[in-house]
Parts: sequence; structure tokens; C-alpha cells
Amino acid sequence: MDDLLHFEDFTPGRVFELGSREVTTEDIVAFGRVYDPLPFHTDPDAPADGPYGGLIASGRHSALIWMRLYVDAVLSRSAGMGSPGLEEIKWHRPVRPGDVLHGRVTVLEATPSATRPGRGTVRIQGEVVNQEGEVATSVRGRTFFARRGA
Amino acid sequence: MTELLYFEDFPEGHVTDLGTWTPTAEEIVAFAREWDPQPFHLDEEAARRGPFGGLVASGWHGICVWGRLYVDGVHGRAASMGGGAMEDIRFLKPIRPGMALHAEVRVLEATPSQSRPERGTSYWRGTFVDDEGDEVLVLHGRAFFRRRS
Repeated sequence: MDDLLHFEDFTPGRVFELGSREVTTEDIVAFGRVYDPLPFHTDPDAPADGPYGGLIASGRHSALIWMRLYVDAVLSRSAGMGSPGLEEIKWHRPVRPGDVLHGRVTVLEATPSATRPGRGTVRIQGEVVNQEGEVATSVRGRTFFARRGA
Repeated sequence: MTELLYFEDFPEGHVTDLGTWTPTAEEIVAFAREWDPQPFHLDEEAARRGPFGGLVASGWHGICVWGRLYVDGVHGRAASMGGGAMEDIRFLKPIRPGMALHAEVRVLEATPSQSRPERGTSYWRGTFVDDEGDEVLVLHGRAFFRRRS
């Protein structure tokens, strides 16, 4: 179990590169139909002269792509204990079919819990960057991790 | 056809009932497999030994379902001009299978745009509240609506 990432491994300034995922028309439409049924998230033929210039991913979809990359690269090999919430989800640029999103997490702060000695809170800044190197979506939030040896 | 709603229909303090969500274990697991595959969202057995003592939904699942209810109840019925960031999102109580979660959205501020007279900004607070009256999920955001002209 010692190879799991614990609270002590999340030192402020540490950056985790999370890998990449391509976003397809099918992905965008499938998510949009269930969670964000607006025409520019569900119609593969959304007109280029319409709002947002055609089909774009739901903002929650692009944020979830970041979350899945964070789980696969970090949380799944960690002693993660959930999250109290998110400070902010920001949408900087639309995500369109064929975009390749690369995920990243930067540790902002790490605070041992005052009341629960076995854990600590890590404040992180996450983002997905598109193939042009532009930040598409950013997420700032907190994750609880068990302390090593707890 | 229902009448379209405008900025003026969402004054400060206005509350919209968005309906109820009762998550099943199956949908909690299905969502988690796709987006948030952590043991306490995936498997009742593994979750029992985890930090929540049982299966709980991903907080993101709550955000996504609340968002769908918001689209159905407000966004999709209004002269909407998009939305801004979401902020101050709190996972206050774990979401467990079978809970009845009542969704609503309250307008905290309604501000006509200075630079674009055709629109206004609504700053809102969204909630899921359980049968005990406790807030389970709280989130905030901005929506832009066309003004009635």
C-alpha cells in the first residue's frame, strides 16, 4: 500500500501531467442529450452561424473530462478520501469535435486537518489545455487524502 | 407553446422549483464508471470499508443532474444568452441511493448590463435538499438573459 500517493506527496507547486483525451462528435452529443440538452450541445449539424459557431461540448462535459483524467492519473493510485467541494469551474474556450484535451493538476496548498489527524486537505488547480495550447476549462477545488502511516 | 422567459422574469429572490431526483445505485455506479471511478462510487462492498461507509454518488454526478434540471426548468425556457463560471460548489452531505433530492434555484442578484442594454446577468444559488431539510449540494453561477423589449 506504500506506493499509494498520500497527503505528504502533494507538496505545493507540484504538477501532475494527466494525459490526454480526444473529444468526438458522438461524445459531445451523448453527454448533451442526457445532461445539457441545448441545440448547440446535441445537434451534430448545429449551424456555423449559430451561437458558439457550431456544435460545442457542454461545459460540465469538458470539466468531467478533466476529472476523469485526474482520477486515472492521480486519484486511482492515491489514498483519496473525497472532496468537500469546488471553488470554481471556469470555461475559457469552447471544446469542439476533434479537440484533444490534455489535463494537468497543480498543487496550490496542503493543510493537515486540525480535527482529524489521519487526513489532510489539498487545494488544487486543474485545467484541460487544447491542441493549440489554450486552456479550455479550469477547475479549482479541494481533495482529502489520508496521511502516510495513518 | 409556453411563453419565453426574460431577464425581468428572474428578479432578486425569485425561486424556481426544479423537481426531484432520486438516484439509484445503478445510475450512481454507471456515472462513476464513466467519469469518476473511485471505489466509494463504484461498488457497495468496497464502499462499506471506505470513508463514507457505503456507496455514494460522485459530487460531479450531483452537479450534472442538477444542471439538467436547471436546463429543463429555466435555461431551456428562457431567452438565454449563455452562462458564466460556476463557483462555491459545496458537497455538504453524501448522496446515497434512494435519497429524494429536491432541486431549486434562487436568484441572488439580478443586474442589467451597463454595456449591453439588451441583456442582464442573474447570479443564482442552486441546491439539492433532502427529505430532512438538509442541503446536500449547493452551487452558484451566473446566467445571461435577454431583456424583454
